Amino acid sequence: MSAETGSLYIWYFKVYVRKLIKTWDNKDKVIEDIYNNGYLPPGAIMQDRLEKTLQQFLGNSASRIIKTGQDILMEVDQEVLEPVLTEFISNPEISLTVLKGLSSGGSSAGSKEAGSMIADITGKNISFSLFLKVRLREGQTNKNQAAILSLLAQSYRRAGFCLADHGPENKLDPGAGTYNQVIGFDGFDIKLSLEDEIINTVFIDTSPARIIKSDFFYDLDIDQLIAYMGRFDYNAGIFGELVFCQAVEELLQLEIPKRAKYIRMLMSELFRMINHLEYISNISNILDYDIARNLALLEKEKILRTTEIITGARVIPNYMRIGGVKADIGSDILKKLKRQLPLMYKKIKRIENILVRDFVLVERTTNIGTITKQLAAEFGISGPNLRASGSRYDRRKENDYLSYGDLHFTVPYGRKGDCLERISIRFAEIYQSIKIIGQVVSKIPMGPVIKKINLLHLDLNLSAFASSVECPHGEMKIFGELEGKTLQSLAVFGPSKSSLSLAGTLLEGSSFEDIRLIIASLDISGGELMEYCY
Amino acid sequence: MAPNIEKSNLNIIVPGFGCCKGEILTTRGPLYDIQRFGINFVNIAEDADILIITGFSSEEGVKRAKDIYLRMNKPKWVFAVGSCAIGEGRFCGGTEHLNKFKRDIKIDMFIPGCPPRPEAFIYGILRFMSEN
Repeated sequence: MSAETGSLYIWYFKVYVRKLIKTWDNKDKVIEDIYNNGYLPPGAIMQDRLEKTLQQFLGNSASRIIKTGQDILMEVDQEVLEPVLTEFISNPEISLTVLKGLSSGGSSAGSKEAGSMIADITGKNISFSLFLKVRLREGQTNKNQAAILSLLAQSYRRAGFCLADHGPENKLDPGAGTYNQVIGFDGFDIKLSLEDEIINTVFIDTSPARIIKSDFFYDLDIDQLIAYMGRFDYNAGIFGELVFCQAVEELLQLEIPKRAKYIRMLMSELFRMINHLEYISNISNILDYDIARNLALLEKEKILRTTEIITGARVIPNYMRIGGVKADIGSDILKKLKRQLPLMYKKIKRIENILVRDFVLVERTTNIGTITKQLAAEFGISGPNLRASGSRYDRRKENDYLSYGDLHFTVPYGRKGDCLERISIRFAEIYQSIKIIGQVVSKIPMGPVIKKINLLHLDLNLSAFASSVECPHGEMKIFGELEGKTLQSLAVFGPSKSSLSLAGTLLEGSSFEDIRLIIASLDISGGELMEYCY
Repeated sequence: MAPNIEKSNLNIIVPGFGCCKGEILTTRGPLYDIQRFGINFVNIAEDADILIITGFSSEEGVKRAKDIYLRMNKPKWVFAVGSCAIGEGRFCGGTEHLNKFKRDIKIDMFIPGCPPRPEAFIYGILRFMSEN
């Protein structure tokens, strides 16, 4: 064989291999696409369909029905609320049967409106939510709010909790035993009556958490507001900032750089680990496992050190910006982080061995505070508490909101839904977070970390923005309205409030000594309970 | 009025909630270990020597904190911790919030920061002990 034909053969071979690689890549992509679409119903089509049906049935009574981000906004007056709610429940084509959150949206000091109330409503097979904004009648805000709540409570069981909480006349008489605690419960009181150490009636009062002035955001720019958003979930401060920045970016249709996306994922996983380790230390403190508590706190402090090096602050980072993040991460920090990961895994595994494999703890926590799948769906619970009760729902898989689609991780879930399941799911989530951090550190691309835009000349018509992220307590949502440069309303829907609303039904019938254990196992963050005061 | 604080131990009560409270309570952990200075956290007002005021409190929270102060035994001191309480906070009305306390209560120590680091809290308490 001559040299020429030999080289020709080699050339043919190279082309053939290239073709093979190309087809193989395409195959992978096709399979991935099918998998992603087959995993859950595509949200955009459902959103379109629901918007059209709402226009058809309720177009006359609502003043506007528009898309906001991946959700829908519907604005109604207080007078027409009752027929709208009956239509929501009775009409099989709409079937919005789950109330996830309630908030008074606040009001800017310059606006003439009497105030509003915003409800976050979803259905059982819908991945997005409908924000129902109810404009209040002129007059006393508190009385109008109580009237709306009593209407909502007729169709949604979850609203009954808020009704007992808001209305001054509906306050339950605590009777024989009252139980107010200073340290331990953050932002709420529990009042209950007992009979032979078994709880009869429970009343949860979140009025201590109603602290925010209703116009606190009025003369702030959007940039300045980011620093305050971390306080809405101070146990894991990054998520409030993340959800706010993400919502505004969606409104401005801003695509952030890929490195910024990766840094955001890294930070959110680090803060998820911090929150879960705090949770484990709380639980082991209640059950008197001092070694586990100390080990968990030490591990938490180590992670806080790295977040402090990156962001400059310990718990409330003020690190996110609209269009990216504040500062870049050096390569030496990433290398150090990658070196620490196996050791971190080992140490957390050791804590798990101390706690979960001890039969005393297992006996103490099984069949206590059990949340069934139905109950969880009815009260709109999300996050690890939902996953412990048997449904595999994670916003990171579902929505694919940062670059979580590029990474490999599983969503751990349990079956029983009792305290032990909730504890062990936290451990499993920490391991998944370690796995994600390892992938992020090895895959992180080079490039800019922020897309700089000038927000000084922002001039928008009245437009709403909404977004949601998977924070360590559950699914955190935000809703707001912008006009020009100033915010008109802002509502943060924390997942802790819906898990607290369930706590009342869990506590009834359980014994007095389990109160702290059940409430600590639900992982309630005080920052998410914060509400506007009028 | 001023007893020798260095010889006795101090009991602290932290009502309310918020990020400041979280950071104060991390000093109980193994890394900061505030108990080596003889400082403990208590739940009952009668046992406490120091009341800590944070910014995250509604009007009911202010009323409760004042109630706790009245129930505490003498000698008793009050610390204001965090930017919200000291008067830059936006959530709870800035300086108005502190004035609600100042009418009735004398505040002995201000610890700034948003939230203050655990080291800052320990430094504040040690300095208070050395001054008295």
